Amino acid sequence: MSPSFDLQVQNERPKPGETVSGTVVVRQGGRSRSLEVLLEFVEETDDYTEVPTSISTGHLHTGKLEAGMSFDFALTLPPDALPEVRSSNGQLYWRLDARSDELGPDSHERRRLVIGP
Amino acid sequence: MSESAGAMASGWKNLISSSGHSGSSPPLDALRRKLTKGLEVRAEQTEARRGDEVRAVVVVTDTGNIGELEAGIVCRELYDETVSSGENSSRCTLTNVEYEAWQALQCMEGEYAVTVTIPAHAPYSYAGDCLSFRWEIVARGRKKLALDAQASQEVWVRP
Repeated sequence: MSPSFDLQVQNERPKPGETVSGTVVVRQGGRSRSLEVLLEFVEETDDYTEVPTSISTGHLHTGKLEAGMSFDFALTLPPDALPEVRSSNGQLYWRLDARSDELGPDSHERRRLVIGP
Repeated sequence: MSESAGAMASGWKNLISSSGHSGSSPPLDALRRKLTKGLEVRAEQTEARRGDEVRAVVVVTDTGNIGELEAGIVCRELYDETVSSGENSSRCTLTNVEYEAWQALQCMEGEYAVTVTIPAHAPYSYAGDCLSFRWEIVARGRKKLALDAQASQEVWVRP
């Protein structure tokens, strides 16, 4: 069974250069090779998604995840972090991605951030 | 110079290529620029911020084949999409005019100062892998039943 998570974030409207901190809580346990949280800048169109910038916590945990486990994290935005943009056919934005590396498709819990001025 | 200016977002789309798109422009625009003589545009600055005004000079040295002259600013969105043709599909880069604002100019030989404003909430310049935004100051001569004359200069718009 794949694990699932709750992603609790203390500051969902950080400014460039600020630290985004929070906690990953394991809602449902399961097999996992490792767990990390990524702070990602995302390019998205209807058909494609690219992540040109990805900042990782490194492994917060390795091995099987049990329900109720929790892991604190803190990731810092670059000082020149670009703001969110929406256009007719795409968007640019930042998000947090709690990712469990698994045999087969990975499990994710993602949360979009709004970068303040 | 006319004081009237129009701004609009357009749904105009054009296929650029089936590969990368940084710095690309629609094929017809490239042809317009290649065939244009006697029309130039020079921005006084090549970088600006959203919300800034940008000044430029439009230089007309030959009115013979220009048509109705206007100058403006254009933000072009370049985005990747899967395009299907029969049983095949491929990743293509398409372009869309995300923002444009134009002002009419008298079509006479000479230099014309123009000022354009970059909207504060428009996209900033960005060269990405599947989504990009490119800003240009453009002078164009609109012609009926013929390819428009066109000259342009890129401006890098910071957030």
